[in-house]
Parts: sequence; structure tokens; C-alpha cells
Amino acid sequence: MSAIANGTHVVVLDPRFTKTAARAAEWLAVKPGTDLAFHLALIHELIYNDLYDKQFVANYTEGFDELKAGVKEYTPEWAAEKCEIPAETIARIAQEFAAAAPHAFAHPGWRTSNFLNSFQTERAIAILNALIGNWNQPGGFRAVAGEGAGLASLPTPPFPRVGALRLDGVPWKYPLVPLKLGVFQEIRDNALSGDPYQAHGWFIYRQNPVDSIPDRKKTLEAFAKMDFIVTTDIIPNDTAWFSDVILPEASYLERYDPLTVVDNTIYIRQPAIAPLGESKSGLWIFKQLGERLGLGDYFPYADEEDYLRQQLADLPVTLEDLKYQGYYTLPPTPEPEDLVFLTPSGKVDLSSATLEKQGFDAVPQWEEPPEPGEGQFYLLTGKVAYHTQMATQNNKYLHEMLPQNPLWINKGVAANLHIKDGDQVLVESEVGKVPFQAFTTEGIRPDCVYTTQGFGKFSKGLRLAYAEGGSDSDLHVTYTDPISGSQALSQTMVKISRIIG
Amino acid sequence: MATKKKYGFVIDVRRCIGCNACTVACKEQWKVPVGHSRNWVLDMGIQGSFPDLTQTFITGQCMHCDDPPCVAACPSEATYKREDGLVVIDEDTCIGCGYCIPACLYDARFYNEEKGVADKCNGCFDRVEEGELPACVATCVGGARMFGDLNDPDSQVSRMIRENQTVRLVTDETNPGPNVYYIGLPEELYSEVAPHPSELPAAGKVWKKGVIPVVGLAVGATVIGQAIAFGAQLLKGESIDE
Repeated sequence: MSAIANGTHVVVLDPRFTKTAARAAEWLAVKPGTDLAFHLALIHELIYNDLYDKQFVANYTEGFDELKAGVKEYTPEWAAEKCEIPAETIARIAQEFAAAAPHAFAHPGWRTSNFLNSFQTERAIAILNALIGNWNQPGGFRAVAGEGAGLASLPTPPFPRVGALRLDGVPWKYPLVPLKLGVFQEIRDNALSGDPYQAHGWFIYRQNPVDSIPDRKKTLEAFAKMDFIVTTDIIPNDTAWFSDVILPEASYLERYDPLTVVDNTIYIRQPAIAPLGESKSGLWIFKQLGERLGLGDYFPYADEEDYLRQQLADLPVTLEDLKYQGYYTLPPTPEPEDLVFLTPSGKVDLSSATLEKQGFDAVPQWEEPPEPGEGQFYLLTGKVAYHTQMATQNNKYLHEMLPQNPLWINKGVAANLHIKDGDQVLVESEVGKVPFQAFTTEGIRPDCVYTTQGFGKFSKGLRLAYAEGGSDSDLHVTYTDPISGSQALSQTMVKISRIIG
Repeated sequence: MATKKKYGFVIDVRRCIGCNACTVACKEQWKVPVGHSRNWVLDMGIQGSFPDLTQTFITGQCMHCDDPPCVAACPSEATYKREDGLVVIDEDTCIGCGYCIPACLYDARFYNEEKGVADKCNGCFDRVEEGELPACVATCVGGARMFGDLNDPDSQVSRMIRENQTVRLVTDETNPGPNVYYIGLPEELYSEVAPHPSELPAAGKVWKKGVIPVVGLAVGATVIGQAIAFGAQLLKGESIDE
């Protein structure tokens, strides 16, 4: 809001009129799945109208000629057909973006996995930013030093080599997905199919797959094949509800967590009150499990504070100082002489050899997304300001703000279907049927319906949120992006009908 | 001598994102019962026709008026205006008669069933005395809520009032001197947030003249229930003379 107050011109691309759109200068009701076309056209305009930063492109990018050839066909007129935004608007925004450069940026978005083409959409956005050279420019992106700088690691014995294939398909099925991220829904699918081997147990920490991955019915079927499920969480969420053992973790106000570094500052998370009930910190839970499994050497700390002290071993700051101050800023390191990107070339790969080697497009190319059939709608999902992911729906005050999740339906469409505001409607996809309360509005494209995530809870441990609203996970069909492993959530098409009586 | 403080709020409507963080922070700060809140975010809904749409959020609370009708209406002097301008309720003195509730021109008051008293924003006076901002201001995500000393020309609120066009929620007929200044409030929405005419024109007078002695006797005794019933009657618009 400060940037807007200072004169930043914000353009929002969304099939739905969000609160962000309400505060923006322009809202463009883009057709779902076609953001890639819009951004390709912007790239086309910058290159073919000679509006890009030639010096930055020469010094910090690779593959410009391939990019230029690759986007030749993607004119605003071409994109207008795809994304249903007028060609003049696209051309104007390209001009305005270039005029504001380098004090401008194309935002990568938040929940970005909507369609199978979303990975290349994100690349197109990164390329746009490179073309105007906004790195380390006021109003652009800031390059930061590597994560974790300054903190010591705890000494552990070497980890034994795992001989089996990872159940989530990384890297044998998803060669480009980082090992530390993984593909959650693939664990579920492979547990269900027994391929490449049958899994028997699942230890789940800070994840809630029953709510967070598509096709909840399928997730519960996979749970049924398990002999043993353990869930560690701060609330009795839906996954905990279907687990054999729940290890209650203390909330963030009650526990220590390992120290983290953001930019050049170390932040501490420390208990404001003692943990309630039987809850314990994650550090305590894992150490106890390790010791009982005869693996105590891998948890070389006496308690939480000792863990943090060891992390600080190489730094001129004590845990006591950190606890008092809340943070510690490391002495400034000399500014790096030059920008280095974490890519094979050390530059921005406008054309990616890594992708090409795996058989994907080196330069983002248009990929046609699926469209709703007769009587169908795109099912959109997205966050609301009141709730954090799927974890806060049971909070007394937040529950009061939004006790359930209505289904947004375009007013004209609703009238045609004889649906009035507040009516109960049945939403049906390939994998599920869920009732919702209708919210009829001008604020959504006629070919879409929308609801927010995290409702329709199964767990009776969530006394307020239990059975309130509907779960979009019950409706989502599983589509996994072969490059990023992300779930393409907006590719699910649904039918809606009024529930009579 | 230092100038007397006069606390007030400035609300920049253009910066409100409708997240209700102010509402939740206040509820947590003051343990406000579910079903009530001391401040609010009025969501005017999505206006216009697809795709030419707007949506405005107007946040508000007690206006800490110069001439507060609630103070005049209070028979037990539980509601009073502090030296620093904040209008507060002394919960120990409040008899829960509810008389102040319709007296407020901005519907900023409610009856707190858990405590048996009238309730509303008190400007987080205790936080302010400690040099902190009210909870709603401290948490405001968009920077829409501002608070400070209107008598201090260097305060953020004074500067904002000086540098921007502001409006206060008053009409020609009704002006209790509210100390909340709005920036960027769309003119077509004035009527949505204007003060309603006082529902109890002679209220203060009647209480002060005839009823105070009676209630005075009743305060602290077993007749509080009657006083509440009395208040409830008034809420329904029945006159005392009946």
C-alpha cells in the first residue's frame, strides 16, 4: 500500500476481482491458464520494439537470440485471442512497463501452480524482469546473499545411503524437482499403487495431506493401505484425525525452533509461554524419537537452548543476547562485485540448456491449457486474508470472520441457473461432489467459480471448524507438472446445480 | 505549560485492504466476546458491472467525540471523557443499563453480556500511556489506521490532516465533534457512514432530571436487574413516561 501511495501503478491479472484487484489501478480479468500468453506478448513487445535493457541482457543473460526467435509469433494480437485481454491493452502495458524500467517488476505471484503451463509462465515472468534489468534497482528485485550464512551446523555422523527409489518420484520420474522439495501427491499415488514398492508407514510433519493435496478420497484410500501413520502438528487437523499416533507440537508461541537467517540477520523463535498440555517442540520430539530408535548420535544436543547455542558457536553473539534482542544482524559483508545467479551459467538463462536436456522447451513456448466443456466451469482456488493455509479455520476469532467458504458464481450465470445468493449449490468434478453456499457476484468471470481452501474439515478435534463449508480438495483432480512437480489446481472443471429443498 | 493532549485517529480509506486484522487484534487485546467487536471494517461489496468494478472498505470505531452523546446519556457517570480526549467506560461504575448504546450516533457501542456492561473502543488508553499505539493501529497491514495527538502539530495524524483532504462523519444536523478523520472516503459513500440522528433526543435530560436519584439509590444494590430491564425498554423505543 505504501508503494501505491508513492505512485506505483499496479496491474492485477486475475479471473476474479480480489481485494488486491480492488486496490490496484487496473484489473484484467484474464482467462484462466492464459497468463503465459499475456507474458509472452509482453516479452515480444519489449524485444521487437527495442524496449529492453541491452546492457543488462549483454552482461547478465544467456540465450537472447534463441528467446527472440522463440517469441516471434507472440504478438499482442495473438495473445488477445488467448487471454481475452484487448491487444491494445497488452501493447500499452508493455510500453508503460518499459517506460518505468528499471523501477518496475513483474510479480511472480503467490500460489503459482494453476495449470501445467504455470512453470513456463513463471519463467516468462523471470525473463521479463531480466529484460528490463531491474535486479538491485530501486523498485525492482534485490539480490541477497545465500541462506544460512554464519550459523554453524551440528556435528552428526554421516547419513547412511538410501538404496531404494524415493517414493515421491524425485529424481527418477521428476528429474528437475529439487530433492529438498519433493512431490507430495506422488507419495500418495505410489503408496496406493504399490509401485515401485509398497509403503507401510507414513511420518507426517508440518504437512496436512488430507486437506492439501488434490482428490481427498484418494488420499484416504492411500491412508487405508498404511499399517502406521504418525502426525506431528500443533492442532488436531484432518491428517492427525486419521493417524494412529499424534505427537502434539507446541505452537510457535510456546517453543524454540532452530535459528534462521534472512538476508544478513539471524532471527530467534522463542517461547512466550510454556507449552500447554502435553505439547513439545519439534526439536524435543525428534531427539526423543532418535534416542529411542538408537540413533541418538544424530541429535547431538542436550535441549533446545543447547541446539541454538551450537548454531551460534562461530558468532560473536550469545543466546542470551539474542533472546533479549530477538535478532542479530551479522557484520556487513562487502557488496559482491557483480551479480551472480544460481544457474549453470551464473546468468539469467533466457534459454535453458537444463530444460532442453530433459526434453522441455528451452525458451517458454505457448502450451494450450484445457477449457471447460459444455455446462462446466474452471474451479479456482485462492487464499483469503483471514486464514493462513489450512491451519487457522478453527481459531475462535478467525472462525468468526469467515466461518465457512462460499462459492463465488458470476451473477449473470447464477441467474441463468436459477441460483440466488445464499442458496445451497452442489459442485461436481470428476472425483467428488461437495455442497457449498452460493455467493453471487460481478467479481468473477462467467466461466469460473471460486472458493477458498481449508474448509470442510473431517476432524472432530476442530470443534468450531468441523464440517463447516466444503473442501476444494474433495473436488480437485490430480494433475502434476512434469517439470516442477506442482499440482495444477485450476485445471479441474466442475458442474454446478442448485440444491432444491 | 505543555499543550493538553487530544488523541484522535486518521483513517486512509485508500489503504484499507479489508483484512480485518484490526478487528481481530482488538478482540484479542480486550477479550471481546464472540458476536461483538469494538471496531469494524465495513465492506461495501463489489460495486459496478463486470469488469468495471470497485470495492471500498471503511474501517471505524468509537469516534471519541468532543461532545459525546454517550457521556450525556450515562446515568452513573461510568462513561466519561478523559483529559487526553479518549472516551472510556469505567466497568466498575457501569450499571449495564444500556442507555448509552442507542445514544451513540455511530453504533459504536454494544452490551457485553459476559461482563454485564456497555462496551466500546477505549483507544487502548493503557497501551497509549505506555507509549504504544492502539492494537488496531499497530497491526494495520495496509497502514490505513493512524493514531496520535491532534494537538501536536508534528504528530503523524496532524501531518496527515494537514497534507490531505479529510472528512469527518458529521451532517448539518448532527455533529458531536468526532475525532476520527477519513482520507479518501468516496463521496457517494458518505450516506452509508453518516451519523444517524439521535434516537433519544431528550434522553440525557430525562435521566439527569428525574431518573438519576432513583438509579442512584439502586446502584450497587439488587435493583441492577431492573435498571437493565429499564434500558431494554428504552432500546425498544418505549418512553419512560409510559
